[in-house]
Amino acid sequence: MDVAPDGLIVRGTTTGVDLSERRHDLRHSVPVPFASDPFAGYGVDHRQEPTGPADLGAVVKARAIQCALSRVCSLCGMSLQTGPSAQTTFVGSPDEASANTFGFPPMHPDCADFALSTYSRLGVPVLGQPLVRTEWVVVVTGGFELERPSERGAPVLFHPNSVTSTRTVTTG
Amino acid sequence: MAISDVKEYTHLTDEEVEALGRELDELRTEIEESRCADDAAYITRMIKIQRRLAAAGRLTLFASRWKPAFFAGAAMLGLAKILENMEIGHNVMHGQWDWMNDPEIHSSNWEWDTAQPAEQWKHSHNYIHHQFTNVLGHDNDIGYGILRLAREQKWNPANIGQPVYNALLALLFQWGVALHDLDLEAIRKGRKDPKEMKRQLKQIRRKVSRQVSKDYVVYPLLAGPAWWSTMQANMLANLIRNVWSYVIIFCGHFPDGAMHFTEEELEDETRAEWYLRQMLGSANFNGGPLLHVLSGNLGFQIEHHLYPDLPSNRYAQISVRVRELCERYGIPYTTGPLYKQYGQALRTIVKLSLPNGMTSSDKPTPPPSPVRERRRLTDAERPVRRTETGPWMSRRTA
Repeated sequence: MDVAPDGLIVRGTTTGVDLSERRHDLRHSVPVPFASDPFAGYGVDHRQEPTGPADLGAVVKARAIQCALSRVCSLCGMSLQTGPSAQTTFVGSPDEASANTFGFPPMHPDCADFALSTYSRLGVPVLGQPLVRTEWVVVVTGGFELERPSERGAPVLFHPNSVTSTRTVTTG
Repeated sequence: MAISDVKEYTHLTDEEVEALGRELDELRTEIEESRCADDAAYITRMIKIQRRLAAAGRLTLFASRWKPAFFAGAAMLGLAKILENMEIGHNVMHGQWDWMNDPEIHSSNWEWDTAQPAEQWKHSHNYIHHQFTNVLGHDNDIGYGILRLAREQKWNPANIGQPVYNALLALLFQWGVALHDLDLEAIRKGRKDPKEMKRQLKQIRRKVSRQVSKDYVVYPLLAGPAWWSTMQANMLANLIRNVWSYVIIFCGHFPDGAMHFTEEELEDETRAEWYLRQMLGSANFNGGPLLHVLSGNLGFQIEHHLYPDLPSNRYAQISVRVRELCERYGIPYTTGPLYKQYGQALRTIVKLSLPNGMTSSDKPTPPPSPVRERRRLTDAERPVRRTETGPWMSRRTA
């Protein structure tokens, strides 16, 4: 991992993931995922100063929908263009994987690897999880269905529809 | 008239809206579960036809100094561009075929034959337009920042030139679309991140030079002595595509029956309410299978807005059920012949070039509604929302 002079993790050296443009959470010295950042994305004035600490476990509804419709990565916020494979990745709990229902929007495969190695060691809820998690499932898929909330306050959900691989990762 | 409460407008109770939502969910599940090899064969066949048409057009233009070859080549190439942009590119980028797991026919990788970079289209169209459909101050497709298409939009003397701007927009449509995601209003107000703007401009420059090189340098050079007529034919092909795409797109949301909404309707929306807004904000047009293919199945605009990521070849099938649901729930299902739908959009463009006081609205008005108690969320309960609403009046106008 590359670390900027101010101590912030900005990119994965083996993955080519570059998060230097993302807002950083200064408590943990990590970038705030695009989908967790209420101060990123459509409708946000770039002159607006972020307030309060970042919630690394949050999924901002507007960003989740933007990720799904614009086909952008929930970690780096860039296009999900993934070259010859055209695969996207979901990261979640074993329960989410067995229900084929994820709460955190899709990522680039490289961003998913970076996210697991970076966030899971922090000891706080991350990537849309309500609790600290040490066992993760990574699902690689060609496509997915977006499920909009059926009631107010309910989360946006994602259902992979053409899964090519599933693996379990234990961290921490 | 812009609608600030969709349920109130349609006179449906909360329970009825939720029941409608459940029926639309069931329809979606049915289509998802029945996607099969026939659907995959449809899109691969379309791509094959489009590529053969383009190749035949390009080859014919080698003889374009002969007038019949000029017109035949331009027509084939124009048709190929229409198919590529409408039925293939637009729908592939919505993710309608991602389930096939084909890396070529995939929303992440498709780059289309027009000046706007695919990545920017997926933001301005897939997200902004489809998420904020016909919501004043959000959906930049309402007039593309050039035309006044809602009575709530402030009139200014420059609007008198609308019929001319409209004609120019039709002729130069791909260039207008190329600049769409820059959001000129946000740039003007200083809200746009300069870094993001620079990145987008770089993308546009790269895509434009690729398109211009292809149609106006490489293929004309390959045509040798027919370079000048090939260049002219390519320009004609682009023009045909521009005008056709413009007409189809303007028929989707600007005929009289397609309603506009205020920002109030946007927040806290459930899936069922979102469905309802999509149905009220979109308009179909009638036609045969060829017309629907050439319009990217956007003659089924209502169905497309309900299910933007379901395969376009299923919209005709879906439309039967959606129409039946609309009848059963008493919801307007706006449709008509293409000429009528476009005629209504054109009339709106001409009328709204004048101040509101000089013209009357053509939007249908709902019958008087029964009074019902319905609690809306307080400001404290709502998430923070965008305060920038663009050049819109805050009150309903005549």
